Amino acid sequence: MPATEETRYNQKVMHVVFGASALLMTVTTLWLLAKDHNREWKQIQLTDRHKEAWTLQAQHAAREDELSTIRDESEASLLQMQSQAIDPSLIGRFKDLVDDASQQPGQPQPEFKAVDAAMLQLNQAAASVAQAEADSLQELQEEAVAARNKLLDKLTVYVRQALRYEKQVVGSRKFLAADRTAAVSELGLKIGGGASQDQIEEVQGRIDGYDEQVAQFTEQIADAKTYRIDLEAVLKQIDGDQEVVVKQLGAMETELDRIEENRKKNTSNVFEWVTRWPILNALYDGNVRIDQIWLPDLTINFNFSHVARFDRCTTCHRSISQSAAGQPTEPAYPTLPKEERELSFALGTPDSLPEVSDDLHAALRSEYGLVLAEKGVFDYADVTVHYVLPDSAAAVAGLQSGDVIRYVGDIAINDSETVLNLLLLEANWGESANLTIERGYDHPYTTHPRLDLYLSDSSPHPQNEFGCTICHDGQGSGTEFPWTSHTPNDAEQQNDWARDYRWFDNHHWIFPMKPRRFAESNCLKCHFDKGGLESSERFPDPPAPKLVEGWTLVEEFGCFGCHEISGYDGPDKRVGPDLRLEPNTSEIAREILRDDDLTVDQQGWAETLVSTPDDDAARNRLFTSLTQGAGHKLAAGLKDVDSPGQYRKVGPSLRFLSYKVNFDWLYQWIKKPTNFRPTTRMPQYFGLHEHLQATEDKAELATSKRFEAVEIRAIAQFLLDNSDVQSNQFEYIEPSEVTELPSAERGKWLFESRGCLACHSHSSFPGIDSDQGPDLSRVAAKFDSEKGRRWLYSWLKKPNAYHARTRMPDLFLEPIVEQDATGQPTGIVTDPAADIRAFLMSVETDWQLASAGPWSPKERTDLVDLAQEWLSSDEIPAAQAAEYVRTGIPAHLEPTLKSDEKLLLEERDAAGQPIGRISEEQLVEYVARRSISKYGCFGCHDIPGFEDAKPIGTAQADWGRKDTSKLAFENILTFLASSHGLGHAAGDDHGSHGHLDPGDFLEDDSSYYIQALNSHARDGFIWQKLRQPRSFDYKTTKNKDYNERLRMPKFSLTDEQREAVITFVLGLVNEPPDDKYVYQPDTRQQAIVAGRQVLEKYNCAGCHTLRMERWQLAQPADQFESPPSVTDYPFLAVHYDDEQLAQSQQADARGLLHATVHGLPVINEETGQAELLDEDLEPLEPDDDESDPYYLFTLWQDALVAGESWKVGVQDLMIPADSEGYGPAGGKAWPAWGGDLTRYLYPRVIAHTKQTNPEVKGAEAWSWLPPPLMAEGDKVQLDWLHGFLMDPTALRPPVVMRMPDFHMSADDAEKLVNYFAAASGAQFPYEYKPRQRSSYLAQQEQINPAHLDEAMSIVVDGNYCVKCHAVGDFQPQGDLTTLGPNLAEVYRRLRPNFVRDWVANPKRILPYTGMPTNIPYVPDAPHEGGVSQDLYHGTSIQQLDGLVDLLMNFDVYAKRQTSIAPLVKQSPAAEPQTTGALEGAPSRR
Amino acid sequence: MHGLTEAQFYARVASFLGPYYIALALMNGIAALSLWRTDRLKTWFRLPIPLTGKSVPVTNAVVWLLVGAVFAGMAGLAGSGNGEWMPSMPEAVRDAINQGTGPVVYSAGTTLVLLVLYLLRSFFVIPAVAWAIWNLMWLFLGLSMTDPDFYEIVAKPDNVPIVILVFLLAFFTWLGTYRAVENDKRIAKGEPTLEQLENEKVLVWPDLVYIELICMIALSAILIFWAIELQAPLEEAANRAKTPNPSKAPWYFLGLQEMLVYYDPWMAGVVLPSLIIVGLMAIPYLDFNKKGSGYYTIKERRFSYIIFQFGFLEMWVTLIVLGTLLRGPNWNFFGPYEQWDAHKVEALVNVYLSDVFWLDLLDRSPPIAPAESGTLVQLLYIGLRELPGIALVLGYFIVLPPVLALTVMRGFFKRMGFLRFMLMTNLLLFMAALPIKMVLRWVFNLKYLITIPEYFLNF
Repeated sequence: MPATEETRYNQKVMHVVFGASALLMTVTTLWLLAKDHNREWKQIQLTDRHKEAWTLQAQHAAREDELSTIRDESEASLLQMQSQAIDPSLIGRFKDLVDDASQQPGQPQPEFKAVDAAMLQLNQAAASVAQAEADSLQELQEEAVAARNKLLDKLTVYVRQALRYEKQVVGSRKFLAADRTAAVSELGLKIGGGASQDQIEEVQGRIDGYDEQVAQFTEQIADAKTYRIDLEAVLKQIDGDQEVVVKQLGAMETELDRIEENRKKNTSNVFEWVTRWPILNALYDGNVRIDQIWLPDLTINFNFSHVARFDRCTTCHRSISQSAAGQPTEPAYPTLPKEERELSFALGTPDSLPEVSDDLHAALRSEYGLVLAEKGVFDYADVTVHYVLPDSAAAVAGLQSGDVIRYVGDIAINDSETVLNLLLLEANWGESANLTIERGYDHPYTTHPRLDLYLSDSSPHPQNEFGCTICHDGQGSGTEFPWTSHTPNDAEQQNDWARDYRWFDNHHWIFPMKPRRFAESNCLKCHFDKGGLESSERFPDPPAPKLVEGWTLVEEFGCFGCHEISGYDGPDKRVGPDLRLEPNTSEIAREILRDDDLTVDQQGWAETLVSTPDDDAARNRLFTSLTQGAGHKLAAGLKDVDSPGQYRKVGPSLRFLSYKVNFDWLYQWIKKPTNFRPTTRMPQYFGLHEHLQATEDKAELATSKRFEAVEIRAIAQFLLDNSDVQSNQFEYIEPSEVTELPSAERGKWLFESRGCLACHSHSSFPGIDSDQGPDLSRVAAKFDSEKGRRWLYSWLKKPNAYHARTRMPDLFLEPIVEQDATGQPTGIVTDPAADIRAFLMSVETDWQLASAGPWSPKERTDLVDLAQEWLSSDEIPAAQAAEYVRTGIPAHLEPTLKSDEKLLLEERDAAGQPIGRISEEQLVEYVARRSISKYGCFGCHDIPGFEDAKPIGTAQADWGRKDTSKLAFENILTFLASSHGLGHAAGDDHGSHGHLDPGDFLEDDSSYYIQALNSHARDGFIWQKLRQPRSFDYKTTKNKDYNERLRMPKFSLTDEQREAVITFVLGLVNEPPDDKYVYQPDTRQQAIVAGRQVLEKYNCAGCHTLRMERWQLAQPADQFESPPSVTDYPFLAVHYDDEQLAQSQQADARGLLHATVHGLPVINEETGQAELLDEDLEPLEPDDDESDPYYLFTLWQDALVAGESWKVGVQDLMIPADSEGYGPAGGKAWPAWGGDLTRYLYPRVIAHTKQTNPEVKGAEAWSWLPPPLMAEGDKVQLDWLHGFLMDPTALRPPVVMRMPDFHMSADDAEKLVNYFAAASGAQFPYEYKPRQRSSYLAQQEQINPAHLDEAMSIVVDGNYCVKCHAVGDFQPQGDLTTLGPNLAEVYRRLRPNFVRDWVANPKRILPYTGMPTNIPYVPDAPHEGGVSQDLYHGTSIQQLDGLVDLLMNFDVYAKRQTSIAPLVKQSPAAEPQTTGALEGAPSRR
Repeated sequence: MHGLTEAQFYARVASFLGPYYIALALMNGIAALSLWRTDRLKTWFRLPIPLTGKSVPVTNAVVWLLVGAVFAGMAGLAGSGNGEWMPSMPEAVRDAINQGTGPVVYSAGTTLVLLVLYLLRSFFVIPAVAWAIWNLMWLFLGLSMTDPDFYEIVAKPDNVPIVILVFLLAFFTWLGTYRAVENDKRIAKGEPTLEQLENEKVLVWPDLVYIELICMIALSAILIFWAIELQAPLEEAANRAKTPNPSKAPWYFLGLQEMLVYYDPWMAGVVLPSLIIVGLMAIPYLDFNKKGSGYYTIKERRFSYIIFQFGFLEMWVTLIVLGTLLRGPNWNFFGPYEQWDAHKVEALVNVYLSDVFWLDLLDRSPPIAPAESGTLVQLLYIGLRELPGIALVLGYFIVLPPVLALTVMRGFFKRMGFLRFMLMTNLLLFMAALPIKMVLRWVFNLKYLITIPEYFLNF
């Protein structure tokens, strides 16, 4: 085609197409810009800034309002002061000073004309002020102020002159000093350069000249300065009276300015607004920026490397660490739970229609103290409380700034006019108006709820050091909701988030945030000991309650028996919590003892190791001797282990089981433990068939039932047979000789009062529920046989004879010799162990022991089949195995067999020839051993023959990071979707592919787990594993051998417990951060943490109170009358500093004072419950609705309440009770730790004692019960305590129960001792006791040579110590319940300072004690009070010191009373040794 | 659907399917409008009006308009987000497709489909038929979207291009074939081809440059839009201890990755890709057919056409689709509606030709070099052991070309000469080797013909 101007396409159309495409391009480009610019976090930040500005503005307004009156007054008084004439004498003094100064040569003559004129003017003005009328007062005052200022200006001129002169002189001296320095340096150079003496002297001369001049100047400067300061002092004196007022005004201004400045920082100005525009924001971000915390040492594991963590969470969660003004651990914007977001308040109205002007807002403020904001915080239309005046009706009702008023009465509020009308014009006067408000903000505008623990600078986890994701997980570098991997807590939240924030499950980020329910899991990353996570004095609200509960459950249920949880990576490197079984030393030693060929030494070592397996010396010797020669098969178990496990097996020993129970009971027990004991921790292994209910699994179900019956029977039979062999004998303890037959009635009281209930529950004692040991309600059925009864007696007498590692202590159930009132034996002797047994056996139960019967023929066949199942393998095919289980395995195959298979070798005849037969016993033992190995029974129990068996479960130390593709979910979703899986009808229609919709499971809170299972997450897996452990076998059993099926048993856990266990296990991630982040407590804290573990192990808190209740009070200033004043020894005085005093008198917005007290409310002697009293301290009737209830609260720690010091043992506090539940009104009560049994027994021992002694006083009963141990470390000597714990001796005569013997290891005892010392802040592990040094005694005796003797005379005086205390061999007479411990032992047991404080005023230490103050301190009396001078001459303090010296040196004193020398008998004179012996027999040494 | 509750899933799908069906409705509406406006109406049948004796002509425009109306109705249902109302592929069909497919059916099926399409091309290129197929393809996608497993795979941001590829490929294949069929008809009648009819020159300026500019802008705009709405999917941090399952190559390499199933890595990863490039480069030198230049034709270039379509569509594109959409964890085949469960196991027992030959056929142990023999002796023994495989392979590449030259490809040999013919046949045989290996694998479980694990050399 020839070239023409014609185009192929119509150019006009092309232009249009081009235009359209260009437009499209523009649109997408703008879209791109907009998308990039409008990032989610920017809006959130701006909103948060607005919120903050609003809050600050409200604070400012409130404060300004509050201060306005004070400010006006201050200003007026300042004006008043400033309009006064100035004292002429001050002016005169000023003039004199100036005159004096001008005497100096060179100074001009002063001229005071101007001053005098100004003064005259001021005096006139001041005079007219004094006579002024009110209306013209201010004007005149201002004139006077002007005149005064003029005068002051004139005077200031002189000060300035003085200053100028001073500066001049200083300047001159500076020049001279410089010249001098130069000269000195010149001199140095000259000397060094070998200049002539003349030259040197010339320079030295110059220097001397300079020095002289400098000295002159220095003098002048000093004078000038004094002069200036004097002048200034006069001026200051003139204004002196104003200083306070000016300062006060200044402080107010500063405070308001500070708030205002902060507000401005959160308010956008034009500059910021402009710079936030796209492109411009590249230059400056307009104060909207991504905020990040850089954590170089808290790395994230990216497989190939560990990279620094960047947490940008605070970009949106801006206020997360913001504390309320002046309260560093109170959140500024609390995260409130749903139920606290909607609140109702009763607002008291005026008695009658108030006189209201046009300004309703002002009226609202004056009538109610309530000021409404112009705009709401987030929604501008919300009617929001701007601020509330302190002590006003609104403040008393509880309204706060930021509350959104939703309803007044039933009327919905949309504008503030309605509120004003309803409250000011139409209220029911005199009655309270009901306000419904909405409080608190949504995430991310709130603050972390635990600033005491996290984020704040005073917390252990400051924000800038820890960031967020180390605890919460999630993707910290993300700045958009979906990409930060937030994890919803349930399906409802998930749906909300998906809708509102585009949430999705980003499974590519392998550290998704922990949902709220598992937030505590990650504590385990750095906290490897439980004690560090429990509530403490510093953190009374438990830091991680759920995690600690899970941890405890894992300990209690003994999960670590099968699933090792190792906290070590190498011998020293801790990586997590360490829950491992202790080395099996005790069991191995026991097993070795069955060996007949042991030497005497070996036997001795083994016996030692049975009871004290931590005896390393014995273990090493036994190990060495056993490994020599042929060796012993168990010797390897005695080898040294780096950082051995600490946990004992949780179940009882089965080594001597046949001495304890019968086959029938054992069979029933193994079959289903909860049948016999619903609360048992023994899990259920058999009959777990939920997953086999489908029709097509009928055959599998039948197999299960068939083989399980055989397994149970075989295991039971084996356990009994195996424990009843010749070489394995248990010796019963025979009852002692006593006069009385066993009595169940006595036994019941003994059971109750001897401490059994601290660990065990029993249906006869419903008031107390302990779970350290098993519930004993049904033991009568268990031991209903001769051997059972004999065993029970032996067990009660000496538990560790049967089970060396039991935690059941020896209760010293020795025969009781009954005494009459005078303490003489009545001849009646009873055996408490027999009595307790009689009681336990007397309790009838509804549980019936069913006989398991002998093996039925069918069961025999099943036994053979099961043996065949076990025997079949690649080496022994099924058909061969079938033959072997009938004929036995031919003897010649023995070398190829595995150990258990050797049990099936054919029987031999008498001649030792194989006879091609096999016995039923062989099959039973084979099947039982295989089954025990399969189920891992030895993880919890000591079973002979399984000493060296290894745990059967997978280790859990890093389960929290376990690759989910390694978890076999199998057909679990199908199972759950089927009718057997979940309690409620899941229906058949839950999507295809076996998916369940989590939304259907909201009600029982399992929606989260269903969702987790849907996404194949770990938490879903473990949830179902703990619920129905075998269900992962659903529809897989058909293609598995019977013995390959899942074997995990089912533990009886509640839903909450299960979640707690999951919380713990998910935290096991084996990813310790840098050492500096790992929780490393100081020595003291470490001792506390380690000790708590031991306390828990032995359940010390079952009997002893380890911490009293802590009550936080909030009360009006006049709630408490002043405590009675007491005269105390000076060293008992309590001191508080000014700040503490001021703080305790600081009222909050509602006018309430806050205080914290520690102690117990007074307990009713009959009910054992904290007693509610009315105002007159009379017990409150249950139906009394009129009177205000009170508690009488006994202090156990000195407290500061409303600025007054309340001391222990002086007077109980009368605390208004909470109308709803337990605790103080408007405050909070933290429960006591420990002592449940003590409180349980309190009313009971009183009742029991009243049977014999009706006069007994309730308060005394405390001293018969296990003592509280709060300050034990302060009280006792560590060495003594250690010995006492290892071998408890009887201390106090009146106690109803003795401290039992736990057969503690020295290590455990040491941990406890250190714990007590550390917890009470005492010295440890060694303490220095100067009072017991001989030098001290010598010193004291120089002052008063007889001071020990005199002190002894107090002790032995019938009115004092010996009245109640035994001393050495002296025993006091009288009511046993009033007697105290032997004083001759005090020097070993107690710390000197404790003894001093105790004797000085026992009630100050133990409020309940019956011990009186024997040496009173009366400062004004002769000798400052004290006891008679006949006994000890000196002041009361000297007497007290003498007494303490005696008690603390009683051994020294006693030794002085005994002379040994006369006792020594001279031996006959030694015969000279023969020389022959010397020569012939060399000394053996 | 991973991590979503059912309600969330349906809500998400509905937000896509609503507009999707509306787009389909519009597409048909526009088609009808265009037919009507360009006066290409055809009356397909007449609908009799009862009682009147008259009838109404039903034209193609009316049919497509009705189809559009149906789609519009479906848009309403699908957009509701209610799982029960949303039009979905019947469960039975889904199960049938899942169970009926597998690598064998898929590969053999695509071959068959290609064959049918080729043979009946004059039917399939009829615009109405093609349009109907086009609609059905979209309908298939729409109906399948409500299946969570299908959705998860197809809607994955990096699989979206593959889905688009399928549709684009269908369109362009149709376009080419349509013109080729038309041209073939014209050539048969002695008429000029369509391209010859349109043989008008186009000006570089403004026509070409203008069009290019517009395309550039529009393409940029589309890419920007795509980048905003479908963001690059980030996966989890790399872990040498745990590789992603499945580990997939970039989509354009998935054909190669599929070959790894059948070949040793050095073959599938090195030799064959090199040969593909070399072969493509060699085409101009091998091609002796002067016809078909500048216009679409099939009849005149039957051999080239078939080989290309087979090599490109079957050996390349369908393997990409297979690799992208149907290969799941452990490189197992998953039906389009099947959940990608990492626990799925396929029975794979490998059979080696030498074992078959020595153990089964000759019933004797394969030759094993005496212990401590030298390398050469060992090599000889290995050679002996693998003799059947080596013979087969050598026979395939050395004996087969002369045989072909003498028999079916005599004409080719004559026109191409020895060197070119040998080159061409060898390239061809390499291409054919893949389907042959596939069949051997499926039918006999035969993994390698030559197995020399001692030197990591297998074929």
